[in-house]
Formats: sequence, C-alpha cells, structure tokens
Amino acid sequence: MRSPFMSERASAYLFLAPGFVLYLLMALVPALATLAFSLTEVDRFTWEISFAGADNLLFVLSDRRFWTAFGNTFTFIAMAVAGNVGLGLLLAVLIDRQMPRAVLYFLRLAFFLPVLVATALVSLVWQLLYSTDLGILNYYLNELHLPSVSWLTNSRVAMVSIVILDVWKHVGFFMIIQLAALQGIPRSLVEAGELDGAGFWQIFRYIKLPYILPVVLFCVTYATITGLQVFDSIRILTQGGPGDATISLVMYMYEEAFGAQDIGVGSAAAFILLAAIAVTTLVQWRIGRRMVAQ
Amino acid sequence: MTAATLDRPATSARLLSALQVVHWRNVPLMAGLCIAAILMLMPFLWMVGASLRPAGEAYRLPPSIIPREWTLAAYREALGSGIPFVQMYWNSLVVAALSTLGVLVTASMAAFAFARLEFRGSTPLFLTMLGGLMVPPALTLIPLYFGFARLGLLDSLSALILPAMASSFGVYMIRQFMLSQPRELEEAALMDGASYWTIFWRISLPQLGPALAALGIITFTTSWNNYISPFVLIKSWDKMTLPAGIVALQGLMGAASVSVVMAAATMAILPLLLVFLVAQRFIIEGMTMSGLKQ
Amino acid sequence: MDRRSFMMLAGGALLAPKPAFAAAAVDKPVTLTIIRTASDSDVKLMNSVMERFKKKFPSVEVKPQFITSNPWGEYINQLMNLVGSGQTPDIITMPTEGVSTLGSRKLLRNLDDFLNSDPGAKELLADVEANLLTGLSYQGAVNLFPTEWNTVAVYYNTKMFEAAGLGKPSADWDWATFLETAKKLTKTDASGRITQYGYVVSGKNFSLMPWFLTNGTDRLTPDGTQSNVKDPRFKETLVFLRSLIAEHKVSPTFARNNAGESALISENAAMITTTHSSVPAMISGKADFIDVQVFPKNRTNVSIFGAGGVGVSTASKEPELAWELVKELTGKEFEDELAKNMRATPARRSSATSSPYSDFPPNAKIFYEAAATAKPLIAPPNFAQVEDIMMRHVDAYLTGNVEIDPMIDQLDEELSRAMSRVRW
Repeated sequence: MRSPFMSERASAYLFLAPGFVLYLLMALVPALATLAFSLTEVDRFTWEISFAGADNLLFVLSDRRFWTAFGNTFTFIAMAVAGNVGLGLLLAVLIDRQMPRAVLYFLRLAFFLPVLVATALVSLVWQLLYSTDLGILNYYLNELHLPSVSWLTNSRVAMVSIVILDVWKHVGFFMIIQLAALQGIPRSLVEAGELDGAGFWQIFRYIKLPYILPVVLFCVTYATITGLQVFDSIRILTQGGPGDATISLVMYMYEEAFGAQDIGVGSAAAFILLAAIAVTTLVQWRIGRRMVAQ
Repeated sequence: MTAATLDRPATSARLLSALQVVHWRNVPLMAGLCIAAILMLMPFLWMVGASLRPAGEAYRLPPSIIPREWTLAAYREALGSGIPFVQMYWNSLVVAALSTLGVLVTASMAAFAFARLEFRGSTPLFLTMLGGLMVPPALTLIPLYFGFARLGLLDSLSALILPAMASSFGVYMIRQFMLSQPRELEEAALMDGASYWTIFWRISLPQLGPALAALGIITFTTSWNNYISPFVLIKSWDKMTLPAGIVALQGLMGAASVSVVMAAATMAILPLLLVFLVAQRFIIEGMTMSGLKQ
Repeated sequence: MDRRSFMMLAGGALLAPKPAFAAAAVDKPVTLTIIRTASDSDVKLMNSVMERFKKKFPSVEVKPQFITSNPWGEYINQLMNLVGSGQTPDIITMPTEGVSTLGSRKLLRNLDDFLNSDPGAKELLADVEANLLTGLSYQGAVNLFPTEWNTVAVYYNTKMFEAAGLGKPSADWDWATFLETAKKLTKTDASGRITQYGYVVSGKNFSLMPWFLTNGTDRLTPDGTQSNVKDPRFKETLVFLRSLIAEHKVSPTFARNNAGESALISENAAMITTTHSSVPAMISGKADFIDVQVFPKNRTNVSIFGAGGVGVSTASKEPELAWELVKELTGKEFEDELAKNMRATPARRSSATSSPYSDFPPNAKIFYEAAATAKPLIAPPNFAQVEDIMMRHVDAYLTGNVEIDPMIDQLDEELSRAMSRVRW
C-alpha cells in the first residue's frame, strides 16, 4: 500500500509508536530491569545500589523455601490444569447437546459467573467456607456423619483446597471455549462417523478430539501460564501456610522483595520465574505441535 | 479457525427443536448438570446471605443461606464508615475504563501497522512484542515499583493504568483478527488517495467490532479484578481499588466483621453480575473468540 | 538601671532572634503530611483532629495518608517505602513494633527539644504512666509522644461462666486453673461435636506473646538481638498451647491472624485472649455479656504492652507546625475521643480511668493498673520479618503439621539468619 501523504514506513512507525512505547516502558524494560536488579543489593532505607553479582541468584537457588515454592507451584499447575481443562472438556461434552434455552442460559450463568469475579473476593468467601471448626463445608460434612477436613490447616490438604477453589473459579472459562470448539466441528464429519457405525465415545476419540486438539492445547498452555502466577488465592486463604505448604513462586518473590525488603533476591526469584514460564511454554508448544501433526 | 458462534436456525426449526429437546435420555443428565450448577453458585448465595446478617450472626452455626433476621446494617456500615468505599468503587471504574480505552486505541493502531502496512523491522518488532505474552504482570512489579517511586507516581491511579495499557495480548489478538479480514475496502480507499489514518479510522476500525468488544471486555474485567498490582503499588485509602481494598478492609476490621466484608464484596461483584445477565451471550462469544483464535 | 540602658536592653530583646521552637507564627500556606493506619476509628479520629487544628491554624493544610496494610509489620514496611522514595511524612504515627526501625535510621526528631520549650506539653506527659514510655524509646531516647497503648487480657463470656457454675476468674489464676476452667466451659452435643469451645488459641502474634512472657521466656533475647527459641521454656509454652487444641480439645484449630473475636461474640467460645482493639466489635455486636480479667500467670505474672505514639520526622521542613499538630494529636480532646472509641487504651491516666472508657468491660480497671509493671514488646528493626518467620512456624506446629523439635530447629535457623542481617 502506498500513500501520497507520507511514506508507508513513517506511517507504520507512527501507528506503532504508542503501543510499542508503552510496551517498552511497562513490560520490556521492567523485565530487563528485573534481571539487572537481581545482580544488585539495594538498601531499602537509603536506596543505595551496590553490585552483588551472582550472590542473589545463588542465595535463591540454595534457599530451601524457594524450592518448596517451586515444587508447590508445579504441583498446583499439574492439578489445576488437569482439573480445569479436563473437567472443562467433560462439561463441554455433556452440554454439547440439544437442550431448552433456559437451561442452557442457567448453566452458562452458573459456570461462568465465577470466572468474571475477582479471585481476591471469592477467596474471602471461601476462607469462611473452608474454616476447619467454624466453616460451612465441615458443618455439612458433619451433618452427613463424615469427619471434618482440615481444609486449610493440614499441609497436605491445603494445596488441594487451593486447587479446588481455582477449578471452581476457572472451569467455566475452559468449558465455554471447548464447547464452542466442539460446536464448530462440521456436521459432515460427525455424520460420516455415525454412518460408519461408530458409537459416541469412538466418535469423540477419533473425530472430535483430534479436531479440537489445537484448542485443547491452547487451554493447557493458557492454564499453565496463569497457574504459574498464582498469588491472590494463596495469599488470602493460607498466606502460604501452613508452614510453607502452599507458598507459590510469586508469593516467594513478593515476600523477599517487599517483606524481607530484599529487592535483589526478589528480583532473582522473579527472573527464575520468567525462565520457568519461557521454558514451560516452549516445551508445551513443541509437544503440542507434534501431537497436532499426528 | 474461524470464530464459532452458536447456530441460529430458522424460527420454525427452533420451535420444533425446543419441543423435541427433552429426550428421555438427556433428562437425568440435565438434572445432574443443574444440580452441579446450583452447587457452583452456593458460595455466592452464602456471601449474599452473610451480608444480610447482623454483626454477631455471620459466624453463627448452624449456617443458613437465608438469615434468621434480615438487616442492611452491614451495607450501611460498609458505606458509611470511615472507609471510602464509594471512592474505591470510583477508582476501580476509572482505572478499568481508562485502561480499556488505552488498550483498545494503542493495540488497534499497532495491529493495523503489523497487519496492513509493510515496513522494515516489522517481523522483529512483532516478535519482540510477542515476548510480552510470556511476561506476567507480577514479574514486572518490582522494577515498576521502583520506577514509579522515583517518578513520584507510586500510590497514584496512573501506576495502575499505565502498565495495564501495555497489552501484547491485545496487539496479537487484533492483528490475528485483521489478517483474517478482507483487504479490498482498504485497498480501494488507498487507490482513491486516502491517508493511512483515514483508512484506519473509517474502514479498518469499524470492521474490528467483535474483536474490539472482546478485547475490551477482557481488559475491563482483568483490570476490575486485579489484586496484586494495587496491593503492591497503592497504599493509601483514597487511591485504592476494590479487590485490594476489600481484602485490606478485612485485615483492618478483624475477624469480627464478616458481614461487613461480605456486604462490600457483594457490592463489588454486583455490576459484573448485572452486565453479565444483560450481555451474557455477547461476553461469552467475545471470550470464546479470543480463545479460539490461536 | 538608667533609662538608656533599659531601652537598649528592650531593643536588644526585640531584635534578638526568636528561640527555635517558639509558638509558630503562620502566614503562609503550608502542608503537613502525616501517616496513620487506615482503620475506621483512625479515620474518624483524624478528621476531628484536622477540624480542631484548622480552627487554630487556618492556613495550614493537613494531608493524612492512611496506610491500609495490616498487621504492623506491613505498616512499617510501607513507611519505609515512603522514606526510600523521598516522601517521608512530617509526622509519623508508630507503635512499639516500629520504634527501633525508626530509631536505627534516625528518622525522628528528639522530643526533648520540643518538650523543653513547651511547658504545657510536659504537663500532658505527666499524666501518662512513665513505664509506658519504655515502649517508645530507642537506646534511651523517647522520640514519640504517646497516644495509646494496648495490653493483652482474657475476655470471657460471663453467661457461660455462670451456666457452668463458675465464679468470676480470679486475678491470681494460673495456667493450671485456666486449663481447668476451659475444660469446664467446653461443651459437646449428642453426636460428639463441640458446640462451645472453652478458649480460642489466638492466631495473632501480639496476643500469643503473654503465654511466653508468663512462662519467663520470649522468642528473642532480652536485648532483642538474638534468637531465643531454643530456650526449653519456649518449647514448653508451645507444647502447652498445642495441648489445648489437640489433647484437651478446649480450643478450635489454630487460625493465623484470627484471635477468635467473632467466636466470642457469636457465643461459640467462652474465652479469648486479645487486645482492646477487639472491643468496638464487641460493642457493635451487642455482646454485653463480656468481661475481662488479667492473663493467667505461670512462672511470672508479667504482662506485655505495646504503645503507640506520634513523632516529628527529621525530614520535616516545618517542625514547629508539626509539633503543634502532634500536640493536637495527643491532647485531652484526642485522648477523650480515643477513650470513647474504645479501640485502645488511652495513654493518659485521666482519660483511661474515667467514663466512657471504664464503662465496658466492667472490669476495665485492670487495663491501666497493668501500665506500671508491664513490659514492652521486644521489636528489633526487622520486626516485620521476625513476626512473619515466627508466625509461619508457630502456625505449622499448632496446626499439627510439624513436630515440635524440627519446627524449633527450623525456626531458630531462619530467625538467626534474619537477625544476623539486621543493621542496627
């Protein structure tokens, strides 16, 4: 495209400018600054900066708490992604059929409303549901003559409780996306399978699933990346406890940088988080490509 | 893959399908789903119920969704106490609105440059922006905190708005959408001698309707629900936004004020609920489209 | 003296420079910034202060900055953020928890400079119990003017005590009696579920401290520089608390940051240990069946206190005006309003021993009685970190996720490392 008023290139740069400059200042430069900060030691009171080389990185890598946070985050992702995407897919398959409009609207409302609401706010509500001795969940469990569960006070259960909250909150999103993908499958393909005498699950496994695989993989990647950043729910429900059973990478980063007032260490942790995201995304992308190609 | 929308068959066919809809096989399934849906909504119902109780009641066992005595005292206290609840509401609104506006404008302009114009450095610049997809907000918080502090912007609404406007996701999404749109109208306009700005404003932008709507909704809700950014960057009441403010409210009021915190949370969620009820289909289609367009 | 000399003397006096901290004359617009916590009562109190101040100094604008962070550790961190970014407020509100943080960085002006030239202020100070000032001093100097303070006491449900056939708890009671009382007050229903807890082990750091103090120990050494958790009495205290939850089952599960106020108000628990800051909720919850008694003793009966005060920062450009505001913030009207507010004990004896403060709870006299002998909370410059480390590990132990010995080892390790990095 050519224009008489201004060269294409100049125009392009002008169009690009606002967005790119914002990106530069608010995302790219800070990301690089994180790397820079991780090499320094900053006195929080006087804000003097001194070079510290790899000290911070070594500190983080040798900190037991960091590895606990690392393990916790990946445990969380394993469970949450499986729950969110898997349950979302199951629900999508169940809903992908004729039903009265009203019922469909009701289902969509119920499952999607949690998605729209702030995680921090629903965490406040769930905190009351999960309370061991005075909480609602345990009350009803006891009514059914089942023992109370130490939802947030048992170090093994606590992470599961956080995952339950996360799945409750997000499954609607993944359900809707996968539902739309299912409904976008051309009728002809499904009918061809039916004509060949295939049953419901066979059609699903050999026709529908491969067709929507890219979308499913997108869901997995998206859920992973957001899972790596889990903070709000953990901070409000358990503050990383009991002990360090639920501390996440972002929480560790926050606590080092703003709690212990150690900007250098916090930045080093942030940097490692960034590396983790990059690696995970790349790995998933690679595996995904190979799966789709099959 | 094109955006999937729910099919809209002819009226007579719809009526017929609505009547045929209740297969005997589907009924138990639909009943099960409806029960699951009600369980999904329970936390919200409990939240509203707790907000309507008098102060000492909220924690009382046995718990009941419908309170024994109804009172709006919790709402009165949330609105009338020294806590500037209305101010927080306003702040959330301003931040969300300006962030959304900023993203829509800058992302569409940048996408226009990438999708429609040819210029040197197009690919490397685009790939650089794509890198931003992997940089989560939590990561950049530490350097942003420092930078804003130096600039005196800490504890101001700008500190929340500016980072939100830098959206790699927005640029990516709009660009993908634009690439799938026909170029004829734009090329015709170019031949007629229109400037790039006119083309963008008069022709490209109107065509972007659905994508802009989707991006707008996503940006707005993300900003409205953001907890970690205001939690770190904002410290005084009159600049606080809703999620972080309500959590702080709980911390300050102690465990004895469940109903007030629930009242505040209910009021914070209400606008999203109303918008959802009205524009349910719209919102879901928007979010779905962004997911399927990968 | 002859007339000429007298004139020269008078003239000289007029021309001589005014003493540094004379009553400030205001003729230009000035802004004073002050930092405070953001609770409802703080906001209301501040608004009244600003109103009164405006009448005296109409051209001065006071800009309060309410910090929403809670607990105190985070409040201190936020102040440090402000200081670091060059926005130190003129006046700083600070509790005992942050005194050494401020002191170690020399952020406060010496109060004596102001007091020496302001006899009225000295009179205000005389009404405050001298022992309370130890909670606001750093290395011997007091740089915060006291406004309020808190101690921890046992708040109990009088109805439940009567129903169990118990008289009021004696001021002399000890751990063993406390346990017996708690057991008598714990009720289960037919299916074995506990419907009423005798006591709620507090999830708040400050409210847990008395358990350690009455056992003659603390998490830090008395000079506040080293970890003290290897002290066998420290372990003993924690084991006792755990037994309340797990063995005797008089307390519900430990919940961090929850002192059990709502359980007491909604009559699910008979006793809790907390500070006066829980009282406003008791009043608004119409819990008029609550009364208060001193903490049960064990090896000692020392009580703990934390004080709060206001001071002028060294970075302030208008110290004299700031001092005027400080006087307003600590004067009689303020103290009386604070007393009415009920969220803490006023520093001034006169406000704390009269109505309305002494009206509720009925045994409120124990509060100011404790002032003369209580010990201040030990708070090093990295208080926030110490509190976090302590509570994390105590939480893990009291919820039954870690055994006592490994927990103490880890706590000691982390605490020692943190204390070694402190800059005094």
